[in-house]
Amino acid sequence: MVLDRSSRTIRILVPVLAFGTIFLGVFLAKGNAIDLSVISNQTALFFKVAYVPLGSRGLLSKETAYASDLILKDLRESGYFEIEALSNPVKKSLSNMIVTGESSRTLAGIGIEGIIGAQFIRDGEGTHLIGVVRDPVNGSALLSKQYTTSGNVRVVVHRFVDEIIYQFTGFKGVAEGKIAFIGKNKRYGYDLYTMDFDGEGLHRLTYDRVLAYSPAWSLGLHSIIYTSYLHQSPQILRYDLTTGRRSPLARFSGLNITPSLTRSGKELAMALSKSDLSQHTEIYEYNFKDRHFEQLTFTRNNNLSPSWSPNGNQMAFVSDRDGHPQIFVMDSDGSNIHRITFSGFYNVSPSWSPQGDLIAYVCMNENHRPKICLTVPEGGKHVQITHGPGQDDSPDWSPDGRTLIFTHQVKGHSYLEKMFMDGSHEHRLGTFPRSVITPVWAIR
Amino acid sequence: MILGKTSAGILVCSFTLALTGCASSVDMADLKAQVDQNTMKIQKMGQVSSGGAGSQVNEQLADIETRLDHQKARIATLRGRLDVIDHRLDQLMEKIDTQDAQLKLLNQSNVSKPGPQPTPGTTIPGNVMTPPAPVPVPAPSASLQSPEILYRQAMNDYQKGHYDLSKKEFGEVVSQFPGSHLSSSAQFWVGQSDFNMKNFTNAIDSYNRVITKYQDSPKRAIAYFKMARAYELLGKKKEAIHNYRRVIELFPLDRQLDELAKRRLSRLE
Repeated sequence: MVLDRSSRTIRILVPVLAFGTIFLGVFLAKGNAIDLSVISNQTALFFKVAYVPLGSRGLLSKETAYASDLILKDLRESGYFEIEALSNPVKKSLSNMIVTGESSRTLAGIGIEGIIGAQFIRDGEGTHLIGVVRDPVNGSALLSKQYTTSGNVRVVVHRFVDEIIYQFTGFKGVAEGKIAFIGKNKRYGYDLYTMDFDGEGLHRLTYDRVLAYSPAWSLGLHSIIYTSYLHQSPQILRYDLTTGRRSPLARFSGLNITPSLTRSGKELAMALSKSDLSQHTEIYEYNFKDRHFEQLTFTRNNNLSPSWSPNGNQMAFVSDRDGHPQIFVMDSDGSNIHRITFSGFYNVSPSWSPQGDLIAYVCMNENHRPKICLTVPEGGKHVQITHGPGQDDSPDWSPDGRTLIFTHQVKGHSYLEKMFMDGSHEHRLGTFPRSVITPVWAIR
Repeated sequence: MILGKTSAGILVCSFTLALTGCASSVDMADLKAQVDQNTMKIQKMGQVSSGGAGSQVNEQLADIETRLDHQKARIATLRGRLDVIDHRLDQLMEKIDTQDAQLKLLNQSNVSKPGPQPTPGTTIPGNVMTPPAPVPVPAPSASLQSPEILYRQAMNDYQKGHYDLSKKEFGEVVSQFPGSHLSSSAQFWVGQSDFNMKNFTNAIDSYNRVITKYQDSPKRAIAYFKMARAYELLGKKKEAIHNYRRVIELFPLDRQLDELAKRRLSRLE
């Protein structure tokens, strides 16, 4: 139908081509933007709070100071809180705030919306954090709980901060979140690593020293699924986080690449070339229950990098069926395919937001450098959210859908970066000393 | 005024199409014919070379294969351009719909304006001057929204998984803007909302409406396929098979749906 419409009209309207080009250029440039104010409003929740360290028992003073600093860092990192510094006499007056909220009422007049206190105790059972949050208006306890871990004190701090965030915003925090990535080794090759949401707690999982990329992590599945060249050709492997064992999930001849898990962890989408001599990849869905591979695309072009919608009913993917790599969306049964990127000749690495209303991807800026863009799943509108020098790649959403992590490459070195989805508060995440590729959040 | 606005819209629309300079159905058909011709030649030469012909034939074969690859690449590029044009056309159609809705709003507000009022400040003999009554401004109701806005809102709710809401909103696009270019798609998404809520019977009804009511709808092929899927999920094998067959018969050029339907059929039969 489009063909008929266009061909008829072309014959009639060729003389107006030049004017049309100029007019339409201006017109479309205006019409292709996402309203960023809508996006940034989501990150504009802000609460003024104060933090009071309530001492410790059984911990070194260095450890206590570290834990207190971590609480403050987690609160700031969330982007929800402004921390009000209190003078020492005020802090002293609040030293019994675990028991009573009487003294906290003195802070109501200075606009503080919550007073957070934490005490650390270490005994034979492990490390405990007794956390309390009081409302300065009436002194009541908004949160009062004891957290215990047999491991690192970081675990209880992250748990406490997540509950504070939930108390204030009604949204689940991401302080307990985990990130997996492929990191370059000191000498040669790459391996699979994990770390906490704030870049700390770095943990190396494999010692293969081979090229690997695209990890997908479902906490429910207790596994990280990733592409590895361990057996020369790229295969999709499953790393069991409980046993540390690996098993191949897809090892067909040709390419087995870009795995992506649904939120439930029950289905996996991936790109396989199977026996295609030209190594064109098609999207397949693998169901863990019946262990069946279902082919979803049939184009004899490259179809890869699937990313599931949060409810698993759709997926975004990259295809060069139109001559250049562009992003398409289809239903999970392979039907209802439609293209969603129309600007530029290179749009790749889609990542569907947990809320379902946005897709982050890699686009090209005016200097032909890869940058991070956002679009909506029905396509058309888009906005570039990273700017400046360097090349940005592999965006992935935090579980709360407020921040994005991605790699930022400058002078051949690739760092892990984090920012709010409106492009603000961009900063380097973690201290991994060498290049990082394809970071992903664990899906909870 | 309506004519003026609409014609301006059509002119803008025409400019978009004018941009297509290098991609028309004729071009595509020509290229496809060339590809077919070359494929035939390759097959013939393959037969000759297997019969013991010399290296000259092999060279010719290689040359034609290269040309074939080039032409395939050109087709892909042209298809890409057509997608872009189609997308731009959709944008312009949406713009026209929005303008039409605005015009409707303006016309209605003109109609609802009261008759001549006494100028404020003038005194009517025998009457005490009263403050002028405020002119009633019609509140924007759903019926006066543009189909584009309603459609976008519905799509947003659909993507967030609020299928109850998206079904209602897509339904409003269909009922309030039956002449809009979005109405057939909206009808399809009503079906999709039901499908995702596992209301397969309702979904079938919506897909059926897309097929019967909108003969030119770009969603007809997919509506047949989805209808078959819904029947399959309801356990109605016979109806599912019938609709998968319809996809294969009616839309043989839609390779994606054709393959999907064939695979589903092979499992059901």
